Amino acid sequence: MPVITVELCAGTACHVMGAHALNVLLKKMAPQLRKTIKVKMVQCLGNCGQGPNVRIEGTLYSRVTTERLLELIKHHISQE
Amino acid sequence: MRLAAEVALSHISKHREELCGDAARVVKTPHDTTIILSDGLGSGVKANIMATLTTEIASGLLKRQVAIEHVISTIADTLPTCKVRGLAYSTLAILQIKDDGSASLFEYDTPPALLFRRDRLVPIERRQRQICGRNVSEAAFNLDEGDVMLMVTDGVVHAGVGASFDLGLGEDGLLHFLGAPCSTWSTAEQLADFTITLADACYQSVPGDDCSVAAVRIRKPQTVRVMTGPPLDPANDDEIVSALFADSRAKRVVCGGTTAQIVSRVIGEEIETSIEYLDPRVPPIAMLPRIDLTTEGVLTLNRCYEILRSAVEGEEIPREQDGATALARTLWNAEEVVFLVGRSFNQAHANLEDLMQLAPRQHAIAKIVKLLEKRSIRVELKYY
Repeated sequence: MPVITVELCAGTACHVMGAHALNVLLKKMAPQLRKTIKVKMVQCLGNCGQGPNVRIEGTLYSRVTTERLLELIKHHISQE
Repeated sequence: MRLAAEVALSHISKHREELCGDAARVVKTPHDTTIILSDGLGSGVKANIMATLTTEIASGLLKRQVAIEHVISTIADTLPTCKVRGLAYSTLAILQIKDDGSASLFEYDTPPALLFRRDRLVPIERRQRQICGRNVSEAAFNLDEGDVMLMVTDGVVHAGVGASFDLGLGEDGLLHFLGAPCSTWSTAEQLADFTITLADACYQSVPGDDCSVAAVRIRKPQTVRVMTGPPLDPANDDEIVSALFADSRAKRVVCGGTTAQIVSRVIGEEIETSIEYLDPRVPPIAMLPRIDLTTEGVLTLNRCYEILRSAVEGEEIPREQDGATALARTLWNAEEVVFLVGRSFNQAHANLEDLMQLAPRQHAIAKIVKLLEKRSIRVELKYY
């Protein structure tokens, strides 16, 4: 089963803009979906004004909400 | 050789009491550390008031450099005695340790303090004195690096009375379970927490009395070097990182994501950031080889300031492991702190700081410095 890498920015601006909620979402995800992702926290994705930032399989996404993160993950999984 | 006293306090309240009837305070001056422990008569609010009054009077006088004998006589003279039981409304133990290792101990109606050297119990020679009609035991002795001392209130000594043990844990029981206190626990905090956990276990988690522990470990003075913020000129990255590593015996702390990336690049090590938000108020910590603690910047420094402000007012620093609490604990237990502050500013943070009413990095550090200086911690600031 393909596993995609999801990197959440743990920087100051992203934290204030809601990175914690994204982290909680990833933890509470359905096990079948959770098995398909590898979660990493990173120090700063260098896009502080547009947080929260997430990088999935090398592609940077900005102003990510919990709903959008789920869609992005499903999109990337379908591409694999 | 200068020595430092690392002190940790731990307590549990009597079952169903909201307040602990014991109180403890630590007073640090540039040349000594004084631990004050008091047990209020009974339990609950009244006992807490008496114990707190005792420790606050003592700590207030000690901060004004009043000699311990006068502190004891003032308290003996001031605090009432129960007319019915003939007991003082609070007990008192004061242990003062100077930076040359010389120690003075005064105990009034408390379990005797224990001294361990190379894991063996060392008898402390005490003499009895009458101070304002109270029978006080007094001792003067010397401490060495590696020595451990334990002060407890009688709730610990009587732990489990009538349940786990007929006559309670007792000093013999306490010594038995402590085993090798100097070598088993590397910090005073671990020893204090173990002793309280032991007492709680003896009471089968229904404490029959308030229990308090003050653990002291004698060590060399500890320096902490904190690097936070990128330098104004990136050409100075190597210089600031070199300053972080200047003292091989110092603890190294890095506060800030970009700061951590600079250190990572200069020393050639990878950063691994934890995925756990131990406190949702602050971002997770990271692991960087050769760095003792790596945290986020502004949010962590602001939260660290709040924790230290409570500590200055007498509250214990929590045992949590999130970045801000770990930073607060590291700074609070140091004898010297060197802040290496990069003056570079992240424009994206400006609006956030206003929105969240956060102090900018340098302002947060200045506030933290003031609190550390109140605890007689030597602070040095270097800007890049």
